[in-house]
Amino acid sequence: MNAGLLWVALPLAAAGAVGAWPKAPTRRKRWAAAGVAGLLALAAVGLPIGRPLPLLGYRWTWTLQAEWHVLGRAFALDATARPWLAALWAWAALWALLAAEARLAPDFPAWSLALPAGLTLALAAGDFLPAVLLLALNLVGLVFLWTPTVHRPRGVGVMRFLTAAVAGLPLLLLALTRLPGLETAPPQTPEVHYTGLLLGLGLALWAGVFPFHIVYPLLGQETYPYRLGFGGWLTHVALVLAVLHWAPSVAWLRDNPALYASLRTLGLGTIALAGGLLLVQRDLGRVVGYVMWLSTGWSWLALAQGLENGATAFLTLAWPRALLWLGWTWAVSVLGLPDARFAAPHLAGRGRAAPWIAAVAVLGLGAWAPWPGLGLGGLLTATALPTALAPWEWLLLAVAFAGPTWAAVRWARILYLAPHEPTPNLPESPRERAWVVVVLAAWVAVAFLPGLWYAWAAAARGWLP
Amino acid sequence: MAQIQWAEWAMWWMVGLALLLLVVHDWRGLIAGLAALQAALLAVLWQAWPAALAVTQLIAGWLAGAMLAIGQNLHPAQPALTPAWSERLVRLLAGLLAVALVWATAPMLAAVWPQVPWSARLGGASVALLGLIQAAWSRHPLRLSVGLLTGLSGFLALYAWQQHGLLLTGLLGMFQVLLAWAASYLIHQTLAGEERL
Repeated sequence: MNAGLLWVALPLAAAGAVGAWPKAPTRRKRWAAAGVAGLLALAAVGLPIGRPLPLLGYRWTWTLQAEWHVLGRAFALDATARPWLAALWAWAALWALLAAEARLAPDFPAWSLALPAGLTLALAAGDFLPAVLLLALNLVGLVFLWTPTVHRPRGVGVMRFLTAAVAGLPLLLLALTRLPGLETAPPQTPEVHYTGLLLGLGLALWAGVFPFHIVYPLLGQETYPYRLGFGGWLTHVALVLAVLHWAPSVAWLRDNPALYASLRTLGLGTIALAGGLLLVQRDLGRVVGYVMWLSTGWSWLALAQGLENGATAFLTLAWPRALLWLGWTWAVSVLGLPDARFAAPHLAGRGRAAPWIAAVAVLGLGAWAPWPGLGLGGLLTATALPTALAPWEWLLLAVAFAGPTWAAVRWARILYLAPHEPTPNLPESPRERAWVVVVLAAWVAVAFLPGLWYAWAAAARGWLP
Repeated sequence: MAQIQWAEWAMWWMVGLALLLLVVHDWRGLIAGLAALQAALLAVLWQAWPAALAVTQLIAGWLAGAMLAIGQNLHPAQPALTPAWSERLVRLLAGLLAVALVWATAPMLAAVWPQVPWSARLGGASVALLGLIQAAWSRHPLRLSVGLLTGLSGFLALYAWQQHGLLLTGLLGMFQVLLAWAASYLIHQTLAGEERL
């Protein structure tokens, strides 16, 4: 048996079975999906890869092969892949577990298995070319997850996302075709400029870099926040990991100070612009979209430290941000019930009926600000910005701080103080309050145990060249 | 030599069909145009790829078209995709402008892709650009996906001369089919369906 059968074929088959399970509600399906994902996470932690496992008193052994081949291309998941593999499947299990509490349709548990399986296959690809094609398949697959199924705008955001995903693929393929022979070329040559431009444009389209960020608020407005958080965050992490796995083989990406300076400017610009735009949003769904964009800004800042330190910084941020996304989008999704509307007039006064959940929604929004020395924001700042800042960079950071903070205050006023419209205001249940406690406890643990995440990131770093 | 000439004609057919797709308003016309475009692409790919791979691409392209047709046919009472003649005229002019732009940049394209025959270079780039225009201009999932598939066909006409392989062809074919499936789902869900608890 090989690792591909265990972490790709098995979850895909399980996703098919869970998806086709007739008339089962989300509440039942999520246990099946979370169970499979949890087992795969445990297998990633404990199962020996590439070494014989003694069975039945050492008379028989069973070996999980690290490598497998598909149509002549090599794929591998060796022991160094354990940390990210365990994290990916643990995230999938947690997201599947909370799906019923977020009132998702019964299709979600199947997607919580299928998407990580697809991303695992993409990351297992030996070459970047098949990895890009497999990532493209995953991006298109997100349309099924994100297509609005309630009365919302006509899927314009999903269509724009699809356009960006499809337009990015040819650019990346053309860049990779031109790459052989250019890996060690000096960065100033026209050939490298042209290839870098194609590569940069393709990745910018896929990652929603300015000016292609417009897709985020559109998606936020029409996609259920919990679905957006799940698909958006997982594909972002997988895309960055795939690039980090491949980029060290190209000298002009590995040793190019100008590239990292640009990434730093891009990151600061993104968190400032996204943070500033948060202040004027009248729809909590659009807020989720802009926060997703802001979140990518923190990734660029982390990666601006170079491939070596940047990878560790990015991975250190990955776990806390996944938990923040999970808890926050769950709370926002529940607030929008019963008809999944997130505009300010509809949510006005909602916090009085669901004070605990509204608190998670407000705190989760505020946590995206870089709080100095404390909490998740402090962790973000400390990890991503270890070097001295120029005055203009301080200014951008100040805007990035003021945006989410003031937006959180503003939404707290809307949720708790504003007079509400005569719409059904669902009171929160004791079960939901219990989940709020779990979410808040997880956030506190994440914020105050950065050493733990750093140790995981250092271990995950071993997978990268 | 005669075979190459045949492929050149097919390439220009592709450009003509991509222009036609910009102005067609009936969904059946869009699907038929896409199918014809895929057939013309087969003739182009035949020169660059082994026959089996080229036919695989044709099957993937037609399958994608069939999936779009099924998705659209579930809601036959939708409004026309391009209602006004004036808009069609503007689309056509924009398309012709895009083709002229590609021709104007022919020397640059020749420097970038010297190994690609000139007809595939200019035709492929034109079709890719026309497809992108179609996609960017549309707010309807069917027209958008036809535009994206047209753009991918143009890209394939260019890319085929640079790389081929079993896995690559298979994944590109899967990508087109999944794209059409996703677009069909988008057409269906945005018009009908409720989130069920």
